[in-house]
Amino acid sequence: MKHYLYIEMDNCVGCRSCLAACTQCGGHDERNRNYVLDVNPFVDRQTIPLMCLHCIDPACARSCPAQAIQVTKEGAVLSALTEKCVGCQNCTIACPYGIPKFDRAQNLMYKCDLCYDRTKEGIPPMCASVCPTNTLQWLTEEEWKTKEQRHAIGQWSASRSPESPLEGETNVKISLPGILQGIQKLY
Amino acid sequence: MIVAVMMAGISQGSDKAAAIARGSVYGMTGCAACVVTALAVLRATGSWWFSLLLGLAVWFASGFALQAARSIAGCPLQDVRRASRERSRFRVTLITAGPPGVVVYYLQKRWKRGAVNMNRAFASRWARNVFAAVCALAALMYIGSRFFTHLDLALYGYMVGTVVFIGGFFYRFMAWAERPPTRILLRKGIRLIFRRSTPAVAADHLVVHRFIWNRGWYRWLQHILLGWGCILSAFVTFPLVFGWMYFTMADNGTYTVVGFGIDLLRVPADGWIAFLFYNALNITAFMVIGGVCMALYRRIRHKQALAEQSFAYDFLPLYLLLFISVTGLLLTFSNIFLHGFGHPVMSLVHQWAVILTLLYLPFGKLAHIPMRPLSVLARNYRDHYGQAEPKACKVCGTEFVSAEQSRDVVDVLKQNRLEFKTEEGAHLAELCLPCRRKYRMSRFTGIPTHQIRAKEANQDAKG
Amino acid sequence: MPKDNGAVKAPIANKHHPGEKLVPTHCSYCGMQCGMNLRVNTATNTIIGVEPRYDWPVTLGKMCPKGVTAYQQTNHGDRLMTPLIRDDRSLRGTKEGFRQASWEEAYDLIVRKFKSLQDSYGRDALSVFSGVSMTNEKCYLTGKFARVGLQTRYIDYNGRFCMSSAAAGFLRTFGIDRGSTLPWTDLNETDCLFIAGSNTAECHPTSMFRIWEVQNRGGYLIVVDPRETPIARRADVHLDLRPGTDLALANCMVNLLLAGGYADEAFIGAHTNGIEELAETVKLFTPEYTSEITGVAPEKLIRAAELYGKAPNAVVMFARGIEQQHKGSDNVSAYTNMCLVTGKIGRPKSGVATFTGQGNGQGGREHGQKADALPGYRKIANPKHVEDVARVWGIRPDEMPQPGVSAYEMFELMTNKTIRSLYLLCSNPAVSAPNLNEVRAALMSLDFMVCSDIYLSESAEFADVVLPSTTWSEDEGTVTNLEGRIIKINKAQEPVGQSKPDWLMQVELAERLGRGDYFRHLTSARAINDEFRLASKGGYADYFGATWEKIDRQQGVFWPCKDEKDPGTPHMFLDKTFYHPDGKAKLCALPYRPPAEEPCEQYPLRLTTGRVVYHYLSGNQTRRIPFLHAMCPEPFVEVHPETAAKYGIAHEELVRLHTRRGEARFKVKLTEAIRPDTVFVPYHFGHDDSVNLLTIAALDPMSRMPEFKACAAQIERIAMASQSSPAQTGGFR
Repeated sequence: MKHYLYIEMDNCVGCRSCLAACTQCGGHDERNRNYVLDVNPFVDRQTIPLMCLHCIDPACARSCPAQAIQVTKEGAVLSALTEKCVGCQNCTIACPYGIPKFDRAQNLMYKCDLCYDRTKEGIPPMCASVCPTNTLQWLTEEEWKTKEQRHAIGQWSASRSPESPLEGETNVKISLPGILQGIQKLY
Repeated sequence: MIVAVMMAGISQGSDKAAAIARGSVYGMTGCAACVVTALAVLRATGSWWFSLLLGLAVWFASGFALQAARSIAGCPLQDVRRASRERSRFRVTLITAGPPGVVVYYLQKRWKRGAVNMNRAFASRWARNVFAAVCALAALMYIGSRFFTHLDLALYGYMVGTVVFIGGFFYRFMAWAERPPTRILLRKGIRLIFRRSTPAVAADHLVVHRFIWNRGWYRWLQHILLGWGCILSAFVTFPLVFGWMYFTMADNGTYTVVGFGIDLLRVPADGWIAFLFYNALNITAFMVIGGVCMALYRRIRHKQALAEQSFAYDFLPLYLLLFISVTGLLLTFSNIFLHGFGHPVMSLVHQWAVILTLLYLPFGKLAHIPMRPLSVLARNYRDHYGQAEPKACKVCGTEFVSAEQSRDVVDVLKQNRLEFKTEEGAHLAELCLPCRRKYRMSRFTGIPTHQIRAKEANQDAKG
Repeated sequence: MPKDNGAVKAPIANKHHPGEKLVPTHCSYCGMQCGMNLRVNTATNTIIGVEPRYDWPVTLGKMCPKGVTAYQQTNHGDRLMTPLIRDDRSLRGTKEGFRQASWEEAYDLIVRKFKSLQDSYGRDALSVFSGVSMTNEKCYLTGKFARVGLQTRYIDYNGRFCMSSAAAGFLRTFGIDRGSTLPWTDLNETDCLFIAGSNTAECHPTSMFRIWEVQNRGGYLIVVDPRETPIARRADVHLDLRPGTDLALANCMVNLLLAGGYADEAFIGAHTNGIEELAETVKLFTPEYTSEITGVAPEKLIRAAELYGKAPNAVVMFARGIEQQHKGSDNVSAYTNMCLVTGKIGRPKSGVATFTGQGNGQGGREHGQKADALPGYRKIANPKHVEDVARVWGIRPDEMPQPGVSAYEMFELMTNKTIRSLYLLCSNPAVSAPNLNEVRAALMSLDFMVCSDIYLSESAEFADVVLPSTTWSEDEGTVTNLEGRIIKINKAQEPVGQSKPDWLMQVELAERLGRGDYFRHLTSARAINDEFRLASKGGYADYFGATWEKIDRQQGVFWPCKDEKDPGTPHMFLDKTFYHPDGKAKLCALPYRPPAEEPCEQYPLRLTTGRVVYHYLSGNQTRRIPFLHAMCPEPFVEVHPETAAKYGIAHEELVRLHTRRGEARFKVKLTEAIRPDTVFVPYHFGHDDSVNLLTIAALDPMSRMPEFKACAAQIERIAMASQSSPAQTGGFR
C-alpha cells in the first residue's frame, strides 16, 4: 500500500525526537539526517521539522556526477551509494532545502532515505513512529486524501500566499502552520 | 551479456540508465559478432591474428548492420511508444508475409530513412573510441610481445574478453560522461590533474582507501583484500595475456622476467621473489576469497546493506569474483595434487568466468573501479576553486563552497530545467545550507527566518 | 487495538533485525512511562537500541528524545561497576578519593558504621532518602527496610520535590490520591482542556498528540503559564500569569463559573461539602482584582472561564508549575474545585489530572516511602493502618517507628546533628533540593553517608560509600504511570559489572544488620511484589489484584484493583462516590496567599525554574547521554528583550543571577515568550550551574513542598574579560 510521510507543521514543539530516532533506523549508521528549525527564535518557540521531501525530480540526483543517488520504486531518494559517491558535494549545493549531509572523513554524502529498511516492509519510518505530537505522520493514500480535503487551500494554507512553498512536486506531503484556521469549533 | 546489461538497467533504476542498457544490447551485439567470428575463424584456420583481424572487420561491418537492426526494431533510445508501434508492425509483417515480407519491410524502411553512408560507418563516437582502443591494444601487443613472438595462445580467450570489455566499458563510460554534472567535473578535473596534491590524494583515495578506513576497519580490510586482490590479479594476468610480460628460465637456475621486451629482473628460481611470481595469482585468489567472505558476512548482518541490497547489484559481483578465485585455485590444486587431472576443463571454466565478469564489469557494481579516480578529480576541483574564489552565502556571508562549483551546479540544474530562485532573487545554490533551510521556514510561515541572526540549532545526533 | 484520530488502525508491525531480540518495556524517565521495545543483541545479550512499541495503548510507540536515547544509560561508560569506598573524609564533596572495594567490604563498613551510630545516638540517627524513579517493589522494600531493617523513623523521598502537593491536595478534596481520575486515552476525546502550570510539550511530550487532537476536533485548549511554552503558543487562551499567583487565578475561575451559571447545582448539592464557604471566599476574586494580582488581562480570564464552563466535557490538568509553591496543595484543591462546581468529574472524558513527574511518582508515593505513610496509602498516624502493615511485616505494631519528617526538613535535622547518617538511593538532592548551599552543608555535616546510584552523581560526591545500582533495564518490576495504571518493566540484560538492584542490596544489608528474618524470603522482584500486593490489600491504593499476569494480559491495571477478578479502575468516581467517610468531595475555600518571597527593590525579578525537553530531573542520567547533552549542554536564563534592554545585556552573554540565598552564572537566552517581570532557568545542572543554589525552601504547610517556582532575584552584568572567540572556519572541502 502506498504511504506518504506527512508533516503537519503546526504541531511541532521542537522536542527533536525525530533527530534522536533517526539514528535508530537500521540503515542510518547511528547518524541523523533530519532537521528541526526555530522559526522566530527571539520571539516565540515555534519550530518546524525539515526532512528530505523526496522530490519527484530530485535536484541532488540530477547534480550527481557519479550517479550515486538512487530513487526507489516507492519514490524514496536514497543516500549516495558508498562505492559511487566521489565526494564532490554537488548534491548539498543543489538541494533547494539544504538536506544532504556530508561526512568529510568518509568522503560520503548521507541523507534521509525514508527509513528504507522499514518502509519497504510497510513499517513507518522512525521519525514518524516516535513523533510525540503527530507532526510527522505516516499516512495511507486514503488518509492523505482526507487530510488534503480538510486542509484545502484557503483554509489550510491561509497563512501563506497561494504560490507553492516548495520548489517542485514531492513525495512527502506537508501542511503549513495555521491548520486550526479552517476547523469548525465544537461549541 | 544480456543479463549483464539488464542488471545495469535494474541497478540504475532511471530511464536514462535503462535506455543505456537497452542501447548497449545493440552495441554488444557488434562485439558478439566480433567474438563469434574470431572464435570461428580461429577454430577453422588456427591463425590467431587472422581471426582477430577478421573479427574486427566484422565488428566494423556491424556498424551497417546495426543501423538496419535499429530501424527494424525501432530505436530504443527514441520514443518508447513509437518503438512499440514499430515493433508491433514488424511482428504483423512477420506473421502475415513470412521472411520474404520482412525483407521487403526492411528495404522499405531503409529507403525511407535514406541510405546508410560511410560517414555513419561508426554508429557513434562510442564505436570510434572502441575501435581506436582496440587498435591501440593491438599495437601495444605487437610491440610488447616482441612482434607477436611471445604470445601465449592458451590465453586467447582473455584477449577476446578484453576486447569485448573495452566495448562495454566505453559504452557505459561515455553514457556516464555525457551527463552534464559528470562532463563538468571530468573536464575541469582533468585540467587540474597536475596539481601538486594529486599524488597524495590519489594515494589516499585509490591506494590506501583511508576514507573507507573511516567507515570502519572491517569494511576497510574487506575492501583492501577484494580490491587489491582483483587489481593485482589483473596486473599479473593481462601483461601475460598481451605478451607484455613473460618469463624465461635459463639453464643456470635463474628466472628472467621480461617486460615489454626488456629483461626486468633476474631472480633465482627457488628464491622467494620467484615464489611470489609463481604463486601471485594463488595469493590474490586467497585475498579475494577472504574479502568476498567478509563482504558476504557483512551483507547478511549490516542493517543498511540489508535495507538496500539486491541480488543482481550487490551479490552477483561477489559470487562472480568468488567463482573466479575458486576455479583459479582449483587449477593450482589440479596441477599439484591431481597431476593435471581435469585441468583443461577447469581452465575453460575459469576462462569463461573471467570473460563473463569482464563483460559484466562496466554495468554493475564493479563499474566503480574504473570510475573511482573521479574522486581525485573532485577533490582537486573543490580545493582549487575553493582557494581561487570562495562563494559567500547571499544571506549571511559565510563562505561555504567555491564560486565555480556554485555556478556549475546552477548550470547543471538549469540543463535539467530546475531553477530555484529566492524571493530576493538569488539562486538557492548561492545560499549556505543553514540559510537555505531557514529560507524554507520563511516560505512556510512568511516570517523571514533566514534574516534573523540566530545560530541554527544543533542538528546532529549520534546514536 | 490502538485508536487514534477516532479511527481504528491496523496494528503496526515492528522491525526485527537479525541477531537481535525485542524486549517490551517502558521508558526509564517520566510518569508517561511510554512503551518501548529495547533491542537486545542476542549474541552479547546487551541492549543496543530502541524500537517503538506501537501497540502500547497510551503512547502508540511515540517517544520523546529522552525516551529514544534512554537505552544508552545501561551500557554507558560512566556506570559504576563496583562498590566505592572513600577513606579520606576531607575529600567529601568532590569526585576524588574513591577506591574500588568488594561488596563484602562495603557491607561490613556500612553495618559497622550504622551500628555504632545507632548505639551512640539512638536508632533515629540513621535516615533514608529515596526516590520514585524505581519500581513499586523497590519503593515498597525501601520503606520496609528503613522501618524494619534500620528501625529508623527518618525516611522520606524526592517526591516531596515533585508530587507531594498534588497528593496532599487530592487527599484533602477527594479523600484519595490518584493522579488522574481518567485514563489518558480519554484526553483526545474531551472538548476542553484547562492546563495550568504544565510545560507539557517539554515535560510530557507524548501527551501532546492527544492534546492537539482536542484542538483538531474543534475543542479548546486553555493554558496557564508565565511563559509562552510550545503548548501555550497554540492555545486558544493563554493566561500568562505571574509566577506564584495561581491560587488567585483558580479562585477567579471558580468565581466566574459560579457567577456565569455554569455550576452544576445538583452535583454540588449531592456530592460535595463546603459550597457556601467556597462561594464566599472566591467572591472577592473578580476578573479585575485577579488581574491585579496575576497580571492577566480580565477579558482572558472571562473567556477562559466561559470556555471551560460551556464545554460538554472538560479536563483540568496541572503539574509542578502550580504544585511547587508554598501553597501548592491549596492550588491543587483550588483548581480541582473547578471540576467539582461544574460537575465535570466522575464520568468519561471529564475529570482532573496531574502530570506525574517521575517515572513511578504515583506508585512510589503510595507504598510507604513517605515519612508519614505505609503501603497501600496507609498512615502511620492511624493505629489500624499500622496494625495491618505490621501483620504483613511480621513485627509488633509498637515496633513501627513514628512518622518522620519531610525531605527538606531531614536536611535541617542533619545540620543540627539529629540525623547522623544517610542512606541515599535513587535521588540526587545535591542538585534537586532547594537552597542548595544549605543542603550541601547538611550533607557535609553527616558522620557517614551511603549512596546507591548508577553513576557517580553530584550527591554521591558527598558519600563515604557508593554502591553500584542497576538501571531500570537490568531488573524487573511494576511501575504506576501517571494515569494510575500499573505496568510491568521487563529485564532486558544482566546487570553490568558488579552492580546490583537496590532491593537485593537491602535484603543483603538487612541480613548483616541482624534483621534477616524479615527479608530473607524476598529473593526476587516477584517475591517482593507478592508481599507488597498483600501489604497494600485493603488500603486506598489497593494493588492486591494487580498480578503481573493480569498486567500483561490487559495492558496494565488501574488501581484500586482489589482481587483476582477485579479488572481495575480506569475511571475514578464513576458512581459519584468520593473517599471521604460521607462519600462526598470537599470544596475547599482557600484564601489567597502571595509567594513567600515577593519582588522588592533589591530583587525586582521573579525567578521561576523548570525543565527542558532534553533533560530529566537532576540531569544525572540525561546529561551523560551524548545527544541530549549536545542539544542542551548548559543551563541558560530566559530573559524578555525588554528586561534585557533595561539591564543592557545581550543574547548569549554570561550574567550573574542572584537571590538572598545564592548566586550562579548563566548565559542569557532572549525570548519574547516570557513575561518581562520573570526570568526562567532550567534546573537540570549540577555544581555551580545549579539554579537551586538560588531557590527558596519555603515549604507548603501540608505537603512540605518547597517553593521552587517563585522567588525574587536580580540579574547583574558581568564585565566580560575573555570573550569567547568565534569558531574558526576550517574552510571547506
